[in-house]
Formats: sequence, C-alpha cells, structure tokens
Amino acid sequence: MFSDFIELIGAFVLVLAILQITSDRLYFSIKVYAIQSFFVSISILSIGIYSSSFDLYVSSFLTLVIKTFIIPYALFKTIDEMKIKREIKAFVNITNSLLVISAIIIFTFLLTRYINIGGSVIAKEIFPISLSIIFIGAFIMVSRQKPITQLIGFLTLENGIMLVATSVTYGMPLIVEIGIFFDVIVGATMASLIIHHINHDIDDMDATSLSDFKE
Amino acid sequence: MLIYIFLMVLPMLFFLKPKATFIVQTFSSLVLLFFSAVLLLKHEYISISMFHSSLPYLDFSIKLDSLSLLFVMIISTISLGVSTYSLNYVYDEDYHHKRLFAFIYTAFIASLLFVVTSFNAISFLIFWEIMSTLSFFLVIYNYENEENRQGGFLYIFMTHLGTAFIMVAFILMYLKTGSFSFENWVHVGLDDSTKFWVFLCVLIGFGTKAGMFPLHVWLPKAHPVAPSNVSALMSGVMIKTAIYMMIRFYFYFLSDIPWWYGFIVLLLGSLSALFGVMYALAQHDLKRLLAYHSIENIGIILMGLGSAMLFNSNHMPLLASFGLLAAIFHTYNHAIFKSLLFLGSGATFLKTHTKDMEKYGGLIKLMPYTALFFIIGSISISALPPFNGFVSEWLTYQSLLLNNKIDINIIHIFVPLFASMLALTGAFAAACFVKVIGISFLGSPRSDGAKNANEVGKFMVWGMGFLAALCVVFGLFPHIVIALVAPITSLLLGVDVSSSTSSHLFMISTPNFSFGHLSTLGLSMGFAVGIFMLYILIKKFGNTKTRMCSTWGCGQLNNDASNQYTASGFSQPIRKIFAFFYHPKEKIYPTSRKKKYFFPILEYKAHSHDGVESVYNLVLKVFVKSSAYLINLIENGSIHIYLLYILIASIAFLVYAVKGGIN
Repeated sequence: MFSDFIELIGAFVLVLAILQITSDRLYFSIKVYAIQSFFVSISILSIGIYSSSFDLYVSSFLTLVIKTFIIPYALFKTIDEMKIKREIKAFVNITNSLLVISAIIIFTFLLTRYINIGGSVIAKEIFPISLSIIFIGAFIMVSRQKPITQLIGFLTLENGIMLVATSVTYGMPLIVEIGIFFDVIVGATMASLIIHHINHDIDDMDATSLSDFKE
Repeated sequence: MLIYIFLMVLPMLFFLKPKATFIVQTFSSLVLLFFSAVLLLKHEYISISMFHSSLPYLDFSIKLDSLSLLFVMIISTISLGVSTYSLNYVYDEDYHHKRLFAFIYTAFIASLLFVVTSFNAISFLIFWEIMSTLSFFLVIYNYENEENRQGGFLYIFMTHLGTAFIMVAFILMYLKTGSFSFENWVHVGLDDSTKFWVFLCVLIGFGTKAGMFPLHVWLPKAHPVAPSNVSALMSGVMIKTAIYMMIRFYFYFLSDIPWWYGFIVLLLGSLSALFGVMYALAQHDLKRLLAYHSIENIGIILMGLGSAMLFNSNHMPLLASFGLLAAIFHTYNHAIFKSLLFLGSGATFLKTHTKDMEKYGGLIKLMPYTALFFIIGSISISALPPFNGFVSEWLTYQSLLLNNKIDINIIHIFVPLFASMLALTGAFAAACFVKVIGISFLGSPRSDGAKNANEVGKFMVWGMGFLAALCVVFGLFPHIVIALVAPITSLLLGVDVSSSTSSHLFMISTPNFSFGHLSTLGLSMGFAVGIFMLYILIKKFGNTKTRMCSTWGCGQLNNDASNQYTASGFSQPIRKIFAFFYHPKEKIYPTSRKKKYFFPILEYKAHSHDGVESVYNLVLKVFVKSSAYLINLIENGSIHIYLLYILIASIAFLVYAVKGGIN
C-alpha cells in the first residue's frame, strides 16, 4: 500500500519530467522543475515518516528549500537579466523529443525487469521511473542549445538520482546527501554566473557558439 | 658499490663549470673503466638494492654481473675518449648554453651507465626513458635548423614506439613470473606462445633502438644532426644498450628457444648489414654515411648473436659461446671505431664548416693527426687486418661457417648465403672508406673551407688518439677482449670461451682447432716484413724516379681542384648496377639560365632514395590523415556531442551490467 503511494509520487515526477521536454518557455520550465522538486521532497518525507529516520527529514527539508525555492528563484533572476524567454532552436524538436523519450522509457522499463535489487526494497517500480528521469535529463542536456535549458536538464537528472537513492532503499548517508546538495547549489550558481557572463560578453546565448573557442 | 654510483653521477654536479665537467667525466670514466676491468677479471660481482619506494613495484636495484660490467667498460671507454675530445670541441664549436650542454651530456652518460646496471624492469624503463629523452635533447641541440628538428622528432617518435614494445615484453614477463626483478626472470620457463611474443616484442622494441633493418629510419636522420661528440656517444654506445638487453633476454631470461628465433635474428642482421652498407656507399654527407655504417655494424653484431642463438637452441654451448664472443667483441670494437670516426668527422666539420665530402680534399696535409686516426678507424671498420674490426668480423664469419654443424636443412641452405652477404658487406665497406679517405683526405682542397683547415686542438687529438690506440691494441692482442668476455659466456652458457679459443699465445682459434685460426700479431709482423722486403726490392731494382702530380689526376698535372674524382663519381658504377635498389635520381642542369647555350655552367646532382623510408612515409601519411579525420569527427568541439557521448556510454554500461546480471 505504501509502496503504491511512493510509486504514485514517482509517476508524478516522471510526468513532470516529460512535461519539461515539451516546454519551450523558460519560465514554464523552471516552474515545472520547482514542482518536480516539491514532489521529490514529498517522496523523501513520506519515506522518512515510514522508516522514522531523522536523516530523511533533513534531506527532505533541504530539497524543499533549496530546489523548490532557492534555485528556481536564482534562475528566474538570471532569465530576467538575460531577457530571453524562449528556447527557440532545439536540435531535436518537441515532437521528435517525445518520441525519443517514450522509447527511452520503454527501454528502461524493459531493462530493469532483469535487475534484482538485493535487500529491502520499498518501491520496486521507482527504479525504472527514476532511471527514465535520469535519461530524460541527460537527453535535455544533449538536445537543447541554450545553456540555461541544459542546466535545467542537469537539475532534472539530479532529481532522478535523488529519487532513486531515497526511494528504492532507505536513502544515502546524510553527509553524502548534503554533499550532493552543495554540488547542486554550486553548480547552479556557477552556471547562472557563467551564463550571465556569456550573455554579457558574446551577446549570444547559445552553447553552440562555445565551439568557436575550440583550438 | 656506492663508489660506483658516486662515480656515475659525480660529473653532473659540476655542470656550472663545463670545462670542469668534462675533466671530471674523463677521470671518473677512467676509474670506472679500471675498476670494472678488475672486477670482471676477478669474477667479483656486486648487487645492491638501492631504494624501495612506497609506490608498488617501484624499487631501484643495481647489479653488476659480468655482462653489465663489460658494457660499463664499453661506455666508460668511449666516454673517456669523447669527454677528452669535448674539452676542446665544445669551446671551438662554440655552442650556446655550454652549461646546459655539459649537464645534459654528463646526465646522458650517467643514464647509459644506469641502464646497463639496472636489475629491475621498472627502474630499467625509467633510466631507459631518461636516456632516450636526453639524447633527443642533444639531437635537437642546434634547434634552429629545420633538419635537426625533423630528425629529432622522427627519433623521439621511433624510440617511443620501441619502448611501447619493450613494455609489452616486460609486462608479459611480469605476468608469468609475478615479479619485476630481473633476478626472478633468469631462465624462466615460458609456454611457447608467450615465449614467441616476448621474443618478438624484444626484437622490435630493442631493434628500433639499435637501428635494425626495417626500423632504422630514424638513425640516418638523427645521428648526423647531433653535435659530433654526441653522435659518437649515440652511435658508439647508446645503440649498444639495445644489444645488451637483447643478449640478456635471449641468453639469460629465455631458455630453450626454438632454432628459428636465431634464424630470424640472423636474417634481419644480414639484411641490416647489406642494406646499411649499400646506402652508406651512396652518401656524400660524411656523418650520414657513418650513421648508415652504424646500421651495417649492428647487422654484423646481430649476425653473431643470431648464430650464437642457433647454437644455443641446438645445445652446443661451446660454439654458442664462440658466436657470443664474436657479437660482443664486435660490439666493443664498433663502439670504439665508430666513435673515433664520428669524432674525426666532427674535427673535419669544425675546420671546414661543411659535412659534404665533395667539399673536402687534401686534409691529410693540413690535419695530419686527425687524418691518421681517421684512417686507422676506417681500416678497422672495413675489416682489414691487423686492426680490431678484422678480428671480430673474422670471428663472426667463422661462427657463421660453423653453423653448418647444425643438422637442419634450412640452415645448411641459408648459412653460406649469409656468410657471403657478410663478405659482400665487408667489401662494400672497404670501397666506401676508400671513397671517404680518397675524397676527403687525399687530393687537393675543393673549397675554401678545406683550403684553410688546420689541425684541431690537443685535447681533441688526444681523445681520438686514445680510441685509435685501442683499435690497434685490440687488433693485435685480441686475447684481452676474449679474457673480458670469458666471464660472460660462463655466466650465460656455462662455458668459458677463453680456454677453447686462446689456448695458443698470440693466436686465436675456433673451438675445434682445425677449422680456422688467426694471429693478427703474426699477420702484421709478416706484413711488415713483406712491405720492408718489397721496399728494398723496389729501391734496388725498380724505377724510383719521382713524378709530381696530384692525386686522382690520372697522371696529368692539373691544377683545377674541381677536375678531381668526386664522391658521387666514385660510387656511380655501384649506383648504376644496383639501380633497382637505390632508385637514383640524377640530373644535370645549368646553374644560371642566361648561359644556357654558350659555355653553360652545369651542375650535377645525384640523390638516392631510401626505399624503406618512403614506405614509412606512406604508412605515416595514411595513418596521420585518417587519425586526424577521426579526431576531427569525434572531438568536434560541440558540448552537446560530448554530452551525447556520456549518455550513450552510460546506457551502454547499464545494458552491459544487466546482461551480466542475466547470465
């Protein structure tokens, strides 16, 4: 019964990740990301209540604060400064992206049928779900041109990792999770700074132009 | 023992004073030479484990057994001569950054010494790389010249290719023995396939360094462009370290080798010898000519080695020791006379400012000592009695002929062929050095540089004189070297070669006495008596009227130096006969366009191609082009593509892991 609940939450996260693919508006993408992080934090919290472990409360709280509020806020500010609202030229357009990620999802579900996870498993179906989320995040990074969208793809990927780490087993050691949070914050900050600078210096918010720096 | 190490690194400390460096290097080489000889003759071998580091596998250990000691002797002999020579040479040639030069030079010698004394695979590789890198820096020392840079890059490329194969051989040995120490590799029993791969990797890896036939391309490019004292060291000693390791592997580490291993070495050796000498004949750049002769002599050494391996695989230790004696003797001799010749070429280069033989001439009158020593070296390298080259080539020849005692048909068919190839090589070498001596030292000067040459400084003369004296001494008293080699054969094969070959005073003989024996001392005494008699006879009965005419003048009194026989002209018949081999390009063209019809000034240019080199060029061109295309395709600079690689890789790993889980 409980595992069904967790799997439901996981399904929401996956749907939001798919929604992320379809969005070509940056504001909307960030909002989707915030909601997705909110669901991840609910999932962690419920497992924390279920297993009454203090570590998971902390990590749920951190997810809520950092990923639902701080990072989206920072990204909003970056977008405001950049005055760019839309992802225009994706390498793979939205229709094809949907086809590709549906293939990815089928593939991961097929693949994970062969994997036996040892130990006590809370929700088995979370595993293919979060694997799909990870691959969707990676796919966003590959197929989108704007660095800010790539950053969102990275954050989605990271949400997937968080989900699989907490929901399949009883979470990672707290110190590791705090380390990951720290990484994400630093990564987001760095990325928004760099994006800001690229924008400022090159007047073109496009990661493909970075290849001009190649030797 | 610590004295040894101290002596090896001592000269490096003086690099701030280049002159002092060379003096200290000279003395430390002298002491090393003396100590090594004493230790070798007293059969006292030392081993020491210097340093165990905390890193896994990395410990430095040094052992001086008889083989190492002999190579230490070779290195210190040459370093003694060359360092004395450098005292003048480096200053007269006026190299920039003399301190740097002195430091690299001494560090190079120290690394050579450490290479032949290291007794652990890892430390050996470290010193081997230090040696290669330092010699690379010495090759490109005059880096302003395009030619130097090209030669240097080819050299460093080839030497690293070789090192890769050496590493493979070492790793194979490690996998079989579980140790990197050479102590545990002695006569290790390997299965056939591993043995073959070790044999092949050692042959390719060290063959590259030695300049063996198909892998020699770097040698004629890198050796001529280095400073002459360095080319003497490289050609004389550095390529011998490869021979040292080959002997170690084929006689000390591997046991029960099949006979055709030796046959392959013999075949490659004879090809190198013939190939090297034929290309040497076509050169008119003196140092490049000498570099090709290095290939030839490495070939002769490999022939001795190969025949020893043949005997060894057929369990004839006595004859094997005889072949090994021939190989090691020739190694020592080649080190001596080749560095002598390189030093001589350096001296002529210093005074005439050109390496082109066509511009020399008449140097014997202007540089009498250099010419004398150069002629001694030339006689040695052309394997003419009574000097040392003759003795070792005679030994090689005998050992090849004795190969007929092995009862294998292929050997019966091929060995006479190899022996005749060796004979042909000797003949070509003699022709080549007749050319060198005749063109550069006799006749009249062909250029202003040659006209204004004078004798070189006294240290240079001493350095060359020392090596020339050794040529004579080893030629007349070969027992010295046989006594030094005897401990090696008893170590590697369990047979003392000196008892069977030098039972007679002043005479060396093949193990079964009836087959052949040789006394260079008696030969030269007979020769001297004969010459004296002839002289008396001519004085008494002959026409002793003196005529004055210039050499190569065909009896005409001709004052124009350009009318003399030239180096290209001398080798022209051979170029024509072996045109299929040389692919010569000859061209006559007017130097100025204006006087095309009325008394044109014509210039003749002959150039022969190294066939192997063009094959290399082709392969390299295709390889570089395709790899550049691939790199461009893979690393196209787009972040998205890089991310895609990560994605694909992670999916592939996932699939792989799941697949492993199913099975």
